[in-house]
Amino acid sequence: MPERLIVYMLVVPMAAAIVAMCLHGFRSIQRPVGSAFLVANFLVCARFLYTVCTATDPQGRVLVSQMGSWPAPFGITIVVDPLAALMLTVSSLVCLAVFVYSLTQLDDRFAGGFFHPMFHLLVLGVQWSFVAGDLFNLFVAFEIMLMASYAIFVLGTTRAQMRQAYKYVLLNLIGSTLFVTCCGLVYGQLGTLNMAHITQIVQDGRLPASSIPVITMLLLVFGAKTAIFPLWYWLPDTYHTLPAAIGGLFAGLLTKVGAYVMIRVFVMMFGGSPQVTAVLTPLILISAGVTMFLGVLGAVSMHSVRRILSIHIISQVGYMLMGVGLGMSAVSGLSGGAALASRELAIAGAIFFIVHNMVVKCCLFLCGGLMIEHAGSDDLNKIGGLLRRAPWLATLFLIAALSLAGLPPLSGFFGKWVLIREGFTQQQYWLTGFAIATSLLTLLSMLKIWSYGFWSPPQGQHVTRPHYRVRTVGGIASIALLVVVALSMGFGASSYMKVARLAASTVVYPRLYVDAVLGKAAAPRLAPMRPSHASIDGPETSGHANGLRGETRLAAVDSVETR
Amino acid sequence: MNPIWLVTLAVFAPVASGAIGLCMPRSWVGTRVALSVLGPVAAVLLLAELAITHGVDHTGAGGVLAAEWMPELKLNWQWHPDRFGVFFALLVSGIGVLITLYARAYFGPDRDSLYRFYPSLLLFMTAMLGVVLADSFMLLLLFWEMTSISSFLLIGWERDDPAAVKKAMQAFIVTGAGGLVLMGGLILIGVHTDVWSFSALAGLAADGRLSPGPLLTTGFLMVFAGAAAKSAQFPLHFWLPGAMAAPTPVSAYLHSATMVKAGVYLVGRLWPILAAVLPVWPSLIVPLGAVTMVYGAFIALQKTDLKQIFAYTTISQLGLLMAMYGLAAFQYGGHGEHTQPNMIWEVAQILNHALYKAPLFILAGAIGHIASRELPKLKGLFYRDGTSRIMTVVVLAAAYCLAAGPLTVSFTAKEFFFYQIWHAYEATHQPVMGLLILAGVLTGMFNVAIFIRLARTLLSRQQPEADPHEHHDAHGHDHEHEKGIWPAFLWIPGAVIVSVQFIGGIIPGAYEAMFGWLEASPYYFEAGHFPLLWNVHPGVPLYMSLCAIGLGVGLGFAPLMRGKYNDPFDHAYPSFYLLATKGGGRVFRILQGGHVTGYIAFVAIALVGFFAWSIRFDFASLPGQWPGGAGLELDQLGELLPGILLTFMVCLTALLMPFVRDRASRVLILGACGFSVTGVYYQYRAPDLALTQISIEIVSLILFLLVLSMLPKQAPGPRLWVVPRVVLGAAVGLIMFWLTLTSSVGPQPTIHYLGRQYANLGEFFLRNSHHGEDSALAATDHGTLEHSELERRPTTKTRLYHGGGGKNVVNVILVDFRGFDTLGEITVLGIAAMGVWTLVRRRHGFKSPRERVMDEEQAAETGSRGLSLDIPEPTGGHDPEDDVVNRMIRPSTES
Repeated sequence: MPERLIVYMLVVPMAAAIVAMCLHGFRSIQRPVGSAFLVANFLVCARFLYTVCTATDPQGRVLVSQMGSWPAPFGITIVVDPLAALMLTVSSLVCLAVFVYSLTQLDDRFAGGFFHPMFHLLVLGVQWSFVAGDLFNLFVAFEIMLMASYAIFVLGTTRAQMRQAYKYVLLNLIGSTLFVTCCGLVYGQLGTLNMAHITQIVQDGRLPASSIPVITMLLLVFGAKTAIFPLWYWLPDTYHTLPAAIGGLFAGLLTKVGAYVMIRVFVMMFGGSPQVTAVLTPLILISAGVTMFLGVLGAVSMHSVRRILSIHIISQVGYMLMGVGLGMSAVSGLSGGAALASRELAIAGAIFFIVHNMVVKCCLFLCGGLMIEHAGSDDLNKIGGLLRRAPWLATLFLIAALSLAGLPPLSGFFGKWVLIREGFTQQQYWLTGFAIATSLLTLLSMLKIWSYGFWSPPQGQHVTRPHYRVRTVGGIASIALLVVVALSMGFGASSYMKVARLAASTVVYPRLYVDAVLGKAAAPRLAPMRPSHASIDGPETSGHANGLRGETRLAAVDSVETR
Repeated sequence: MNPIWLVTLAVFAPVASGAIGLCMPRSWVGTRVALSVLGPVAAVLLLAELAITHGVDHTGAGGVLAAEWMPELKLNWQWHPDRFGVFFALLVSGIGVLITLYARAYFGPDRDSLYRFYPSLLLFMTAMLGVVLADSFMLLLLFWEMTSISSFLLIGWERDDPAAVKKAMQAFIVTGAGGLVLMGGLILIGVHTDVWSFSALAGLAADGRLSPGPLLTTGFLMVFAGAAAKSAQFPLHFWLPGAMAAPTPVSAYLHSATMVKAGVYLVGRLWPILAAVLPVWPSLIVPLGAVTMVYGAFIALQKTDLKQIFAYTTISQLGLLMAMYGLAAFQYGGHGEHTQPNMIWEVAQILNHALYKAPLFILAGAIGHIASRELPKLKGLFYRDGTSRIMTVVVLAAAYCLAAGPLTVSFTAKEFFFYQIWHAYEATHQPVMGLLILAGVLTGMFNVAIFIRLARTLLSRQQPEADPHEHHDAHGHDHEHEKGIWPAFLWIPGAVIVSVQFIGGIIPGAYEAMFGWLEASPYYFEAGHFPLLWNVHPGVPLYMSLCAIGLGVGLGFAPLMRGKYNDPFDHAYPSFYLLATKGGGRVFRILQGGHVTGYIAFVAIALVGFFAWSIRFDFASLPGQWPGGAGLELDQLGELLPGILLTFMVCLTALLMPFVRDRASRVLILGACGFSVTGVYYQYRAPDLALTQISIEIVSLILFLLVLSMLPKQAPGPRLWVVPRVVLGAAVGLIMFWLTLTSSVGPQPTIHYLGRQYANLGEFFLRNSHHGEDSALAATDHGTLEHSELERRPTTKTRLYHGGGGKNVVNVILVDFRGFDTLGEITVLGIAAMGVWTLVRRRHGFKSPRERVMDEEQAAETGSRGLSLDIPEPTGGHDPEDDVVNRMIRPSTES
């Protein structure tokens, strides 16, 4: 498939949005058309994932399209590498599941209005963020995503929702303001916004020392999007006011986009600079520990399903952050090759964790929605005995909840286990200890929902009325879809981990990415790229200790020029 | 058959039969029972086939890889069917057969219970078989957690009973925590040694390549913590008595004979590998085991509920087994010339417990069925009817073994343990070991006393006063007693199991024939023969036994220690739960207070903190980085003056904001700030920006004034923390100022492209906005770009040749160079328009009656505060968002 067709990943959702807008008011047509578009979207994404993962030529692993045919770094580039392709595929699947769920479960009051175009525009924003190859373009993508989320937020217009939407919009606007400021500052420092080009500058060792505070500000920006400590405030107060379908969409996608961008920016773009990693890694690792632990403490203290789940997002973000931090840190105790291998594995673990979390967290939110359908509330003090009323829902919930808690061989286990192993390898004992303690409290919070919601004496609006029917077929179907994906991530973790490691290797060794975007001739020869793609099969075989940084310096000596 | 397949099939046979059972209609009770028995029977047969045709080794070198599953994640089908593992596997599956039959009798023909029960039980069976046969660390962990899950599902059997649900959570949390720590420990050991299976670890130890160090010690400590949680060691034992909320077949199987032995199994598995290497082994395990042993037996004596008594004796016995492995770290001279590990017939000691504890529980359930589980209500049970007579005999036989009476395997096993204590004393000659002797005697004494009391009660001539209220072992339903053969299965499994105790005790040869081949360390006593009672020669261990029996009989008849003392650890889990939920929530809410102003302050503090960290708190060096010449020439001042004044205005208005209370004034000040910015743009030759800014300022000022008219007249209440807010805001402003300054004047890396050099993107845009440079062709001439490369990107060439084709570079950037951004921005505008439309439409109150009802429900929901632990809605004071929200959602007709 021609490379430049990757733009279809944006064309499809945008077309879907336009069509949905034209069909405004005809919901019976909007629904099948929207579903068809989302299926097509998933197929396109999956097709490109297949392309990049099976490319025999390493060059084929990074697909690039220059918008308007202006060459990088002058024009705008969109890029699909294995990392982006994996994220796109899973996120499009999650979107599809949520859409199917919303067809039957979403109240008319939300599903009316501009829900359909907004939904597709949110998908557009998310996918755009994944393919953006330019910092300012990424900002634009974020804005589309956030603006769509603001608009979806006010669809229902309940009191609680409006009150929290105010906080959500305000805090996110602050983040966006900082982001656009940082784009300007980065341009001022480096004279370019193209991610590959910045990567190249960093790898050449041409990063001015004065840019380190700016990069730290970028951590603030993306940290706010990802909801890390101490920037998570927009999330816990807001998500639980949303209907489950919308909450599931937000929970599954928004913070994960932030985590993805963190990997892209801090590991790929700036990970090659020892000065930057020396400054950022402690911040990220400390924040990871605090985020995961305080987040889970907040979650177990809550008494309603949606609140537990939404605060829990934060805790899980801590694990992703831990992976990012471990992926940046260069441990003194490890030799060059081993340190790089450990970084790569940690990033692979983080990627696996993000993908797992997208699916499972969304799935749990949707389960929470069906619990409300059945019990009329999601306050654990007011409901109970759902197991008897909805055994299928209970089974699916239990699988998803135990996946989230990371019990083997379910999906959450493998990401966690790679992260803990690399944490020990990199001698981050305290952080790893926190990770283990956090997963215990995660288990407690999930058991809380299970014990008080599905076991316990039956109570709640419809639970005690066995003949009262609620429409949950669409909901159960979409939850089942997500659970099946989560199970495949557990029992087939090996293949997912292979893709994650492929993705991690293109991020930790950005040579391929830079070459593909900037073109070989234009780019000064950097360090040698990883020996061969065969070495992704095992950490022992990856003999990439050929001094990435050392040779980079040599190549960079003659190109350090100033204005 | 290939041994690997034998093991794999044996492990998965039970769960397979359970899964098939789930698919069968509920009414097929007989078929379901037959099928469920078939699973463990198949496992027993397959394991026997393995043992007979292939033999089992005791070297521990039999780690075999069945198949790769996730090699890079170190999770493979790798089994370890050595003697120790096969012994446990046979124990699990063998008792499993009997428990399956017992469950049918226990639940009666209640098809719903059986439909639900068998799959969970069989899942557990597979999990347990997996634990004891797995060689790979990760495979063990997988099955380990599976046992926790199935145990959780079974303890929470009475799902409508909140107490049972809490006990199930408690058990899952304690054993789950153990599992997580175990995972950490195994990973730590794996990272340290770079081997990921027990056989490989044993290989390292055999080669002497296992170096002790803090990492290995920590890893072992974590693994042991996991094992201790699973095997209910003090002070983590409290979940086990709680787990008695499960139906009795579960207690008899999981919580006495099998699952709780997983920890013992793990320690036994590591004993030959680590005990000699780690000095911490005996000094940790022996005291912990000894305390558990005495404490469990002591509390057991206080209890009156049969299941509680047996649960605490289980804890005691598990402590004993742990202590046994702790003592095994010592060496002793033995009879001959060479020293050997201080371990005598380990399998017999472990098996002994299962052989009497499972019958005790089975009979506790049976007696509960026909009478009660409360000791005071069981007076004279023996004399009631035929069934109760048989049950009394069987339960007393089992309790006799609990007391380690002579002529049982139990007596011999206890002798073995006492010998180990004595050998350890001889090996070390430490007086501390004297305490251990005391602990052994005390434990024996308590157990004997329990037997005496049980016998006195059951054989008493008195009958209790009739109590019509619930004297049955309730398991969720009341059913009539069945006719036929099945009720007998309430006691037959117990009788079968306990008979082995007596056969082995009276005819040692028979015991040896049955189980001797599983013994990995048949040391001591006549070159490896299981001893007869009268072979035990006089010595300290025998005197210890005699002491224990004598004191125990005395205590049993004495009116001492009867229900005076409750286990204080009953409160451990509720306290932890409260601490985690309430305390954790409190910590969380310090940060998440509900006020948006607080959130913004935290974000600002984070910004300042991040900046300070990024310059490593070296504020003194900042002035040195001031770019360009610091000195201002006086003649430049006139040129700069308007700019300086306007900047001053911007800063002044911004600083004034927090001090002004009146809303109208604030809007005006904000306007002044905005117009000053416009002035700055104009002054520095950006008229288009100035025009844009001015229109934005005008529109937003008007909008603000419109909103102002809708807000209540009174100003917000007294504002706190004004000065810190100003300081914080100023700090953020200064940081942004500094960053902008350093970014805009510092040197930029140049861009080389196709042989040309650009200072930044802007220069390329300037040069190419109209005609475009002939860069591509020039590059070919220079030889930097090969022709093939040019052909690969033909469009690049033509585009560059033509340029942007516009005279205004800003326009060309917006619609051509970065037109893709513009597409996105247009989209953003469109979404914003739709969002506003949604809000406006709501404000004008297009609401269906259904929507109005939903609104009211929502209001009622948010209105209820009080008991909820959730994040509070802000109370007290007056939040600005309140006003805005009120206005936004109230239909205009009301205002």
